Amino acid sequence: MKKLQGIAVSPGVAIGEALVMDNEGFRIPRRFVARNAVEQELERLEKAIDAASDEIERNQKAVAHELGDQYAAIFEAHLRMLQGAKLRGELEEMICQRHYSPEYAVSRTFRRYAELFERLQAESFASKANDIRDIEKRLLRNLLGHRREGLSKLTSPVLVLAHNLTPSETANLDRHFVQGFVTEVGGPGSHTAVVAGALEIPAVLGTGPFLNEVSGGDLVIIDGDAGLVILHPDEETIARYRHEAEEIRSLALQLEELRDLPAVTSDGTQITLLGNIEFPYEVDHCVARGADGIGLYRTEFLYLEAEKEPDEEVHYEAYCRVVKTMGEKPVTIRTFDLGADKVPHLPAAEDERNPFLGLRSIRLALRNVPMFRTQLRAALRASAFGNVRIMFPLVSTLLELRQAKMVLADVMEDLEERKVPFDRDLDIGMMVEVPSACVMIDQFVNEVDFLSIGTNDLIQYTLAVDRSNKDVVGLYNSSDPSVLKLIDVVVRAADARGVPVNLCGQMSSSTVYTMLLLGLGLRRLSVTPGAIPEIKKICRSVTIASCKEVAQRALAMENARDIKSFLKGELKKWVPEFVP
Amino acid sequence: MMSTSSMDQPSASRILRVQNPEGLHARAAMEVAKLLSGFEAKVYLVKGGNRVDGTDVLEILSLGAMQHQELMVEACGAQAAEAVEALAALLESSFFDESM
Repeated sequence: MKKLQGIAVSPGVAIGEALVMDNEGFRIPRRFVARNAVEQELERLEKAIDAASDEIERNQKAVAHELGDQYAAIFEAHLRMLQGAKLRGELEEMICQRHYSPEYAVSRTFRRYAELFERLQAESFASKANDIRDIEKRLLRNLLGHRREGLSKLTSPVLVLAHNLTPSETANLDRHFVQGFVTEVGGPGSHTAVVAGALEIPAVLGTGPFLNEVSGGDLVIIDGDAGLVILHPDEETIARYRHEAEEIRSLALQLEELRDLPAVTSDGTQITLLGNIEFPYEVDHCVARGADGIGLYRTEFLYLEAEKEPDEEVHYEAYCRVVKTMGEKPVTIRTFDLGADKVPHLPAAEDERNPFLGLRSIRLALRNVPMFRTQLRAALRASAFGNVRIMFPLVSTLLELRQAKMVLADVMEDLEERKVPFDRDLDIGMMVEVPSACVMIDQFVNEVDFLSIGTNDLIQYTLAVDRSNKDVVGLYNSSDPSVLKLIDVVVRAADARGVPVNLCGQMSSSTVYTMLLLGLGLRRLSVTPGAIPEIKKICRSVTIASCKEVAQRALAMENARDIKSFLKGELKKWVPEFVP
Repeated sequence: MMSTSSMDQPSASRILRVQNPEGLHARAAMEVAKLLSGFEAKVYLVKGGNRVDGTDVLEILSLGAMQHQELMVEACGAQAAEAVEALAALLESSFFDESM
């Protein structure tokens, strides 16, 4: 048994078979074969080498025919590499003596050669490592058959263990069978973390190297609450985690009973609970929990999962899926909130020393109007099928808001001329996540239909702290009094003008802050779908009067730590079963 | 150098210098392997403590032999001398200017 500590990014417990992925999205297969199967496995290797050789020869002939012998020579080299006696000897030795599976033997052996070539000084040799990988892949393809396919074709439940997962690898994963993630690198906010959260499966990231200690099919436990990964667990550990998984399931079942009950405080105030989503399929999670709508539909995945810029139809299809599923309930589409570095088809920004202060989000949209218009057109077209609201992220000046609204008005005009149906009166709003917007909120409220406070960025910009920097992350604190004061200012200004205001950062999904937020006057909370039942439970357990008192007392406090422990204490008083 | 081994097998060896600008890499290594496969002799290439089969492309590559570097060739078998001679001619001719 071996325990690895990583970063917990998505809660829950999963126990199951490992599926190990290499850097290039190939599954690393089962490591060992049964003693009595050696003959059979040798035969499989033989066949795979023959088949791979045939493929290479066919390529060689085709290229020779089209481009001439000179260009086909590389395939002849591949063929000879593949058929070398030393290689064959090494592979057979691994299978016969060490009982390695042919797949494992192939990836071990070829990896060794690739590393050897990479170490050689001359560039011309290092580039040969690619030839080696090419041959390795060809051989693995023949050995694995359909089993090689990354995460898209699975036949049984698996826990995915990888060095790192790219957006394109997670894009097509089989949601039915993937039950947990572990990656050697990465952390909160990484794409894998987002996907795991969306799938509502446990994930532990940033464990450091461990993939050479595990092979496909091994039993693994992922503890997404403690950030632990357990390889080769013993019987006692398995039993303990099985029990824990059972308890989590029964608590979820209890909360499920709240699904059709309204989020009304015990003194009769209706709270609107919305879902935050990133992927269209998450809309089902929201419906299953009785969400009152989608408060934040992040659209970044559309840009991250494709090699090229997503066209209007790609946007439109995704939006329609969400909008149609929600019916009359609102769907708040946030326009893309990405840095230039995350959009591969845009030219790289030149002076991006501080990406969080750089060309991103609405700034990037206003610099790349055609791309912005594509997204807006799709969102508008989808508005014909339901209740769409459009929201601009990271607005820091009034001018930006006006520019964004002008682009939107222009797209609307365009659609009207072409007689394309859309909702002419849809609500237009903005994220409040830059301190300048809070300071100027009296002006902003006159020009929007709604506001949504994004606490993740607001905290970061208010306290000037990069939360991925471990040296300063201690400053990043949802309960910092400065943050509470800014939220208070925004809610008051919005109320005075009758503009609905929502809060959609991670803070809204955490049970500790619910009473505070209601007390500050928020009546709309947008939370991660899995948190809807818990937050609803709190809403139904408290009174607005008591929440107001909590907020008043918190606002009078001096530091984040005192505020947080006070809030925990209050939660314990009102909803004892939820104290962590 | 020509000698006779204890097994009464003819053998030959010689130090050769790689002239190919790109060194002995994929296609050049393939030409070497192809050439040596045609002789009735077992030929080894030795460089920096590594001794590899001269007909195995992957192994030749793993020597990482660059232009102007020296290789020891050791051959035994009926055509040992001929194999070494032919290899010398090939290696020293800057035979393959690889551009792929």
